[in-house]
Amino acid sequence: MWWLITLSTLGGLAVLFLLGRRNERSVRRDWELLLTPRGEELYRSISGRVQTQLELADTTYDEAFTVRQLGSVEEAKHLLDVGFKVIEKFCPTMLQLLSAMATFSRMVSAMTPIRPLRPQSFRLPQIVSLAYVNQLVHQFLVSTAERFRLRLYVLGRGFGLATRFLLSSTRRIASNAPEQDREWDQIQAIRDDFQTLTDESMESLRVLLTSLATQDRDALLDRI
Amino acid sequence: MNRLQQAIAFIGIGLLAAAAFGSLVRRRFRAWWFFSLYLLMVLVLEGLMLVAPARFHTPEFWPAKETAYAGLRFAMACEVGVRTMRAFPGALATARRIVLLILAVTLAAVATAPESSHYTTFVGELQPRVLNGSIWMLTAIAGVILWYRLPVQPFHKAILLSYLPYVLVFTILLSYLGRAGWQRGIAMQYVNQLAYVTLVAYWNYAIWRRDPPTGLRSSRPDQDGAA
Repeated sequence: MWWLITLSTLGGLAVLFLLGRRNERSVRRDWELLLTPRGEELYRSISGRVQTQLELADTTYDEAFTVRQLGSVEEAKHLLDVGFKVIEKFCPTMLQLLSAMATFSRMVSAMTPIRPLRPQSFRLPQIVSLAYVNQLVHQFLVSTAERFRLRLYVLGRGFGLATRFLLSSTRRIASNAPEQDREWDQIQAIRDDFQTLTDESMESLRVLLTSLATQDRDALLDRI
Repeated sequence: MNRLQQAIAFIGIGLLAAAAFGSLVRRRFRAWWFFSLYLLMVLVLEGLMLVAPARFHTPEFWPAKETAYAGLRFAMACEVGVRTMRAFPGALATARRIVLLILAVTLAAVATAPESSHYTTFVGELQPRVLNGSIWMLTAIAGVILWYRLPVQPFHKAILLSYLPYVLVFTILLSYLGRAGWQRGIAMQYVNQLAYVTLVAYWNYAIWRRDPPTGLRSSRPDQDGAA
């Protein structure tokens, strides 16, 4: 009996703590964002910002590859470093966006079906494996909302992996480690994967907005 | 009950009366019917125990009173769940499944309690199991609210956040008293009384205050209760 009471106490206190510290105004603001056209505008601006950041990183890396081919190795390394700094800022933005989408997906009453990630779209072996896992687990999940959140989770892990490998390759090139060509090829593969991960994230965002569009928003706003 | 316990009990009754009155005047009963009913019932039954202890402060009356409270507690939890989730069919369906499971488990726990008509069995074995079920209900509803990120009325949140810790304290206390006996658990009785008085004082604050603005587009004088 005492273990049951202890369990109830711990569970109850944990939930109370989380509910207590929740900012109710922020929750209601999120719902308002979700249920009014402001939400769509906001997410479209996020999409634009994300694409711009990725284009900036792409331009830097293109420059790095070109400069390397021309023989300026030091300049190429410097540009790689700059490119990584852009990705370093870009990645948390994407992770935050994915996390927000996962939260909002719980608030949608019916999620539009979405396909799982295609392993053939990726180049880094570790991300390819993740995509295969996504495809496999996708079959076992029942609701479209769960499948959507699984996809977001895999995308988040993909961004994390890509950033880690990019850092590793950038450092190895900077320290003149052997097999430099392989590191440069890996960086190219990671760039392609970043683009794919971003495109898939934007597709997920589009699906979320489509699902929201089918909700009776005004009725829901009135009842809240 | 000694003089000090009686004094604390009178303060508690006074606060309950203020809370019940506030629930009427501030129209909180429209936001949460079973909570207002609970206040009224506690006021009446605890009042009876205080003014006529010979007739009502008895081992026969106490279990009946607590059973009534338990029923109202479950009803309160269900009502706040429905009110918060009625606009969200997915969340409501999840909450319904969880609540049914909790009710089934609580029923099973009560059914498997030691069989005895003795008062101490009710206090030490039966009542903690029922209270545990209440804790799970309230925790589950709060959990669904968190998971689905549902907006919750400030009044509902204030009562939930204050009542659940008290029920936890009361459950632990009751389990201890069931084993140690009322005479040995006199300190625990004081703890319970003071905890309850603190709880009802906070309820008065939650009932009488003006709720903070929700900031939502459709925000208007709360159709369920006081603004």
